[in-house]
Amino acid sequence: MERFLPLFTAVPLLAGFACLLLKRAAPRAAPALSVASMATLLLLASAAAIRGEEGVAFAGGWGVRSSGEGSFVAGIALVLDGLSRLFLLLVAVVGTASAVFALRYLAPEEGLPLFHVLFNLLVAGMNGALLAGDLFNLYVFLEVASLASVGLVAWRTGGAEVEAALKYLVLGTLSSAAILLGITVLYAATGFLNMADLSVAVSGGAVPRVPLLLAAGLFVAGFGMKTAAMPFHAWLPDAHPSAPAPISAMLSGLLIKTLGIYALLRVLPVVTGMDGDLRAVLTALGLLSMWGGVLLAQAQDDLKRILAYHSVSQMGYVLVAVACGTWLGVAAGIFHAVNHGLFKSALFLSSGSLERVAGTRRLSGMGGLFRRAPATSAGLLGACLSISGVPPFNGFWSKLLILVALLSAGQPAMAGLAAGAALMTLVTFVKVQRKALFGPLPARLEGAREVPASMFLPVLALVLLCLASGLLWPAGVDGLVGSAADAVASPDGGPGAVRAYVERVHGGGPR
Amino acid sequence: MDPLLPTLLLPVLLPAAAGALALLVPGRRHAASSALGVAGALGLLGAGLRLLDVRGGVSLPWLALGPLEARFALRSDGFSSWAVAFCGVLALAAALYGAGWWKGRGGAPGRHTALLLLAAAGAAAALLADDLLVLVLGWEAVTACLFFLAVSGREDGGPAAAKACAVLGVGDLALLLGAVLVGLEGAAAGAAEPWSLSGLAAGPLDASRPGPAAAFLLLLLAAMAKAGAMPAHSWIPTMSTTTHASVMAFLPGSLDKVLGIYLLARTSLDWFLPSPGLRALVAGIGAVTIIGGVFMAMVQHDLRRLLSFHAVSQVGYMLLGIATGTAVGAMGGIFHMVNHALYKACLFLGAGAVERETGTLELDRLGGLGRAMPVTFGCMFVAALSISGIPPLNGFVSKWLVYQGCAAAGWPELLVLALFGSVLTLASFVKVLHSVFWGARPSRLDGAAERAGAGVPASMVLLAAACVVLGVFAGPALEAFVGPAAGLGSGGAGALDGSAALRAPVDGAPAPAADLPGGVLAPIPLTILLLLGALPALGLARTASTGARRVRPPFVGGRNFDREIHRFPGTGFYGTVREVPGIGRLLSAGESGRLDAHEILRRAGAPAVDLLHRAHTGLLQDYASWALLGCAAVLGFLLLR
Repeated sequence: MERFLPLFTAVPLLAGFACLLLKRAAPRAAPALSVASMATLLLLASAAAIRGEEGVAFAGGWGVRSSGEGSFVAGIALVLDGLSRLFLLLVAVVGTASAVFALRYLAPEEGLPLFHVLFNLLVAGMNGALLAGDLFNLYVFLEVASLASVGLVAWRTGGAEVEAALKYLVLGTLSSAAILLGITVLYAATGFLNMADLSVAVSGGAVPRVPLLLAAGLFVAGFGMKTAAMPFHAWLPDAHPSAPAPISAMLSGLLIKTLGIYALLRVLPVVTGMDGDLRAVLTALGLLSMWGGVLLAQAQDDLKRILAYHSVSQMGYVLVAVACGTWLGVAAGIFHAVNHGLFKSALFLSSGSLERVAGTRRLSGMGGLFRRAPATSAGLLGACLSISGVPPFNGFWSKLLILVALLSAGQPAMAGLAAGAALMTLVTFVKVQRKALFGPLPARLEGAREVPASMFLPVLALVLLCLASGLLWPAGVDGLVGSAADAVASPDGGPGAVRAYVERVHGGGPR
Repeated sequence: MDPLLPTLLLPVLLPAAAGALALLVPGRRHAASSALGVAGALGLLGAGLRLLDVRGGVSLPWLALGPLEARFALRSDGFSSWAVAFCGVLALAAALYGAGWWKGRGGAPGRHTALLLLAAAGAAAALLADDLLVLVLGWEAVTACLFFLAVSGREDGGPAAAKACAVLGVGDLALLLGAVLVGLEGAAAGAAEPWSLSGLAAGPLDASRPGPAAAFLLLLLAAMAKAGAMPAHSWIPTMSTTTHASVMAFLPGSLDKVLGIYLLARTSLDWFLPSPGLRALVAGIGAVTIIGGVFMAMVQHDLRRLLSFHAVSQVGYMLLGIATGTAVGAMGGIFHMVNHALYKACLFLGAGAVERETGTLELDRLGGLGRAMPVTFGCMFVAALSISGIPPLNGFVSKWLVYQGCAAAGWPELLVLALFGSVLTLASFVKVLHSVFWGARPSRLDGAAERAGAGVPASMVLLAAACVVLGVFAGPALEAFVGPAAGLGSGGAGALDGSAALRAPVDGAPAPAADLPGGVLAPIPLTILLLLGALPALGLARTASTGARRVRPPFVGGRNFDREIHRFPGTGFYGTVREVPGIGRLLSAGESGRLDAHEILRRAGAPAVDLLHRAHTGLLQDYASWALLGCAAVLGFLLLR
C-alpha cells in the first residue's frame, strides 16, 4: 500500500490540472473528471479501510539524511494509520457524493472547469493534510485546501458571497498564521518538523516547557479556528451557506474536521500530550461551541444558516468528547466527527435540492414538500433524524458514546450539558422537518417538482450510510473507529499510541 | 439458537412487519391498510398471550466498548409478559377503530396504521427489554412514531407535534443519561452484567447514594414525560386538538402510560431501593398531578382537551400508588395504569366518533346525542363511570388499592387529596355526559347518527366490556397479573396473592374500612348487591317514563322558548371554580401557558439567543477581534497557569 499513498493527493491534483488544461478544448469533461477522480479515491480509501492497511511512504525520497542513530530517506513523509485511514474514507465518500450531486446542480456555465479545478485542489489539500507526517507539509496542504475553499465560497461572485469569502479569507489567514507561528516555535525549540522526531525530542524531556505550551496554545487557537469552535467560529455561518450546496457539504462535512479535529488529534498528543490544562481549554471551547451554535441556530430561518450553526455546535460535541482524555472519549469524538461528516453533508446537499424544488432557502417559504418531492424529502428526513440522534441512525450511537465517555470520565455536569444541547438539536431539526416537509403546501409551490436522480441519489446514499453505520456499529464500524482511536490514544491512558506512531515512521524507511 | 428467541422476538417483529407492509400500501386503499392493522395487532396480541406462561430470557452479545457492555437481551417475566399482551389489546382496539373510521373518508390510512403498529412494536421491545440499551431503543421508537403521527396526520399538527417531541425528547434524553448512569454505577459496584435489567433487579441500587439517586431521578423524569405527569404533561392537551382520536387513544391515552408506569414501577420497585425522601417526592408529584390535572379538566370546553387533562390527572394515582412502596399501593398503581388505558382509550375513541359525526368537540355546540349515538353513549358512559371510580367498575378497584396504599404508608393527607380528586373527576364527567349526550340537541345535529364502519363501535365495546370485566372480576386479574408484577423485586414484598391484598390490610397499618368483617373489598358480592339495589331504581325510572304524558313546548311570557338559544350546555357547570381566590389565578395562569414547563423553558432561552444573535454584527473587525481575544485567552490560560 505504501506505494499508493502519494496517489491520494496525486489523483485529485492531476484531475484538477486536467480540468484546467481542457478548459477550452473540452469544458464538459471537467465534471466527469471530478467524479472519476473521487471514485478512484473511494476505491483506494475503501481498499485501505477494508484491508486495515497501515504504512509510511516518503514521497520524493531525495537524498539520505544522517542522524545520530542511523540514516533514513528524507522526503515528504506520508503516514497511513487507523485515524488517517478513516478520514480518507470519509473524504472519498463525501467527495464522491458531492461530485455526483454537482453534475446536475451546477448548470454548464462559463468557468465551470475552474470550479472543478478548485474542487480537486480542495480534496488534494485535505488528503495531503491527512497523510502528512511532518508539520510543515501539514501546513502546506492545509493552506492549499483553505485557499481552494475560499475560491469556492466566492464562486457565485455575488456581493454576499464575496463578503463571506473575504471574512473567511481574513480569519482563515489569522488561523494559518497562528499555526505557522506554532510550527516555528516548535522548530526553534527542537529543530524538528517531522512529528515522529518531534515526539522523540519532546518525550526526551530536553525541550523547555514554555515553547511547548506556546505552540500547543497556538495550535489550539489555529486549528480551533479551522474547526470553527466558538469564539473562532464567526466566519463559518457566512461562508458555508454562501458556497454552492456541494461545496457547503464538503466544507461542513469535511474541511472543518480534516483541518480542525484531525489536526488537533494528530498534533497535540505529539507536542504536549493531552494534559489537564489543555483538556480544560478544549472542554471550554467545546462547551461554548456546543451551546452557542445551537442557540444561534434557533433564531434562523435560512435552512443553510441553521445547518451552518449546527456544524459549530456539533464540533463542540466532538471537542468535549476528545477533551475527556480517555480512549473512549477520543473514540466517541472521532465517531461523532465521522457521523457528522455523513449526515451534515447529506443535509447540505438536501438543502441544495430543496432550494431547487422550492425556489427559496427560507423555511417560512416552504411546506408540505413531502408530497411534491418525496425522494429529496426522504433524504432530508433521514439526515434530520440522524443529526437529532434518533436510533437506529449513527447520530444516536455517537451521542450515546459521548455520554458514556463523559460520565465514565467523571464529568456528569458536562454530560448533562451535552444532553441539553442534543435536545436543542432535536428541537431545531423537528422545526426544519415540520416546516419544510409537512404542513400546508404554499400555493406558490403547487407546481414544484422533484430534482433529477443524480441529485437525490447521492443524498439517499449518504443517508443509507448513516443508517448502516448505526446498524452495523457492532459489526465492523467499531473496528474502524476503534483503530482510529488507537492511533492517538491508548486504552490505558499512557503514551503507547504516540510511541507506536513514532515506531511506525522510524521503522518505515530504511535505517 | 435459543428456543426462546423466536417467542420473545415475535411480539416485536409481527407488528413491525405488518407496519412496514402498511407503509407500502398505496394512497387511499383503506381496506388493505385496515386489514394489515388488525392483523398486526392480532399478531402482537397472540404473541403476547403466548408469553403469558413463558418465564425466561435470551441474551446475545451485542456491543462492547470500554464500560459500555450492552447485550441484545429480552426476557419475559411476571410483568412484561402480560404488559405486552395488554399492548396487543390496545393495538387491536386502535386498529379496529381505524378500520371503521377511515371507511368512506380521505386521508392516508396506510401511513397512520403503519406508524401505530411500529409504535406498538417499539413498546413491545421496551417492555420485553432485559438490557438498558434495548429499553432505550424501544422507548425512543415510540416517541418517533408519535411525532410522525402528530406531524403528518393533519396539516395544522406541526406545532403540537414539535412540542410533544420536545417534552418527550427531554424524557428520552433523561432515560438515556439515566440508563448510562445505571450501567456505570452497576459496573462501579462490581455487578457482573451492569447493563442487564434482570441483573439489576437481582442487586438493586441503593438510591440514597448520590449517583444512583441521580439515575433514579433521571428515570423518574423519563417516566413522567412519557406518562404525562405534571410538570411534563403539557404536550398531551396541546396535541389533543390537532391529532386523530385513535392516535390520542393509543399513544398518550394508553400506550405511553403503560410505558411510563412500567418504567416507574420497575425503577422504584425493582431496580432501586428508593429512599423515603424520593418516595415522598414521587408521591408529592402524584398528588399535585391529580389535583392540578382535574382542576384544569373541569374548566375545559373542548372535549379532547378535557379528556387529556384527565389523562394527566389519572397518572397521579399511578404515581401515588407506586410511591407508597407498599405492595397494595404498587398493585393499585399498576392496576390503575391498566384500567386507565382501557377507559381513557374508550373515551378518546368515543370523542373521535362524536367528532366524526358532528364535526366538532366544543361542548357548547354538542348535546342530546344519547339517542342518536347509543353505542358511543353507552361505552362512554361506562368509561366515564369507571374513570370517576364508581363501583363495581375497574377504576374503583384500582383507586381503592391506591387509597389503601396511602393509608398503609401513613399518608392520610394524600389519601384525602386523592379522594377529592376522584370526586372532582366524577363532577367533570357529569358535565361531559350532560354536554354531549344529554340535554337539548342543537338543531345543527339533527341528522347525527353512527355512520362509521363497524370497527368503531366494536373497538369501543371491547374496551368498555374490559372495564366491566376487570372491575367485577378484579380478584383473579390481580392475582394472575398485577400481584406478580408488583411483587417482582426485592423492593416489593415478594410475590403476592392478589385477592388477599384486596381483603387484608397490608403492612400492619389499618386500612380505612378494616373494621368491615370478612374483608375490605369483594368485587363480585359487591356487584350483586349493587345490581340488586339498582333494580328498584330502574323500575321506578321505567314507570316514570311510561304512561300518558302530554308534551308541550315551553311557553313563557308570551314567547316560545327557542331550543337553540335557551339550551343549557354544560360548559358553565364549574365556572365558579375560577372565582375561588387562589385556584382561579392558578387556572388562568395554567390556561395562558404561564405554568407550562415547555413555554417557561422556551422563554428562558430567548434572551440568550437574542444576545448571541445581536453580537453577530456581521462586521469583520468584530469577528477578527473575537478570534484574537480567544487566542490570547487560550495562550494566557496555558502559559500563566
